[in-house]
Amino acid sequence: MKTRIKELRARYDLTQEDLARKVGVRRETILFIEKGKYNPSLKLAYDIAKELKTTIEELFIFEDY
Amino acid sequence: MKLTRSTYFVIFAMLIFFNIRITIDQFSEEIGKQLYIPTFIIFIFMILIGIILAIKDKELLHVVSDERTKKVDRTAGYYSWWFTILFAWIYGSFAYFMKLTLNQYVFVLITEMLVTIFVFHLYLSFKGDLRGEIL
Repeated sequence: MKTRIKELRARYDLTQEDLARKVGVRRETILFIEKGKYNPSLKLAYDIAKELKTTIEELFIFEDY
Repeated sequence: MKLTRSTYFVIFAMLIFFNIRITIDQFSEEIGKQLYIPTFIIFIFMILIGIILAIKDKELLHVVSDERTKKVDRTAGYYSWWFTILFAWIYGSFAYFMKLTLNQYVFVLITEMLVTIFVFHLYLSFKGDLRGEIL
C-alpha cells in the first residue's frame, strides 16, 4: 500500500511529529504508515485524512495483491 | 507497558542490574560480587541515556500509546509466554542432567520471560509491519 501522507504533510507544512500529535499517535506510527509498512485502523486512517483535508481514497493507494 | 526509545534504555538497565546480575549471583556468589561494579556502571550509564532521550522526545512524564504500540505490547507478551512454556518444557526434559535449585529455576525463568519480552518488543517496534502477526 502506498500513501500520499508525505506529500500532503508538505502541502500543509506539517512535520510527522505535528501530525502524530493531532491524531493522537506516536511519530513512529506515522513514519511506518508513510513507508507503507503499517496498515492503520479505519479510524486512524479517517483521522489522518481529516487532518490532511482529504479522503481515505485519496490518501491511500491500494495495490492488487 | 509503554516501551519507547527512551524507556528501552531504562528497562535494559534494570534488566541487567536487578535481574541478570542477581540470577548469575544465584549460581555463583563470587562472580555475582565481581559483576556488581561493572553492572552498576552500565545501569547508571543506561539510565542517564534514557533520561536524556526522554527529555529530547518530550516524554519524561507522558508517553503516548496508540493502536500500533498496543499491538506490539500484546504480541511481544504473547511470544514471550510461548517461549517460557517451551523453555519450561525443554528444561523438564533435561532436568535430570542439569539440576537447578528452586531459587535458581525461578530466577532463570523470570530472566527468560523479561529478556524475551524485551527482545520481541524491540524487534516488533523496529519492524513496523505487523500485518502477519496474530494479535
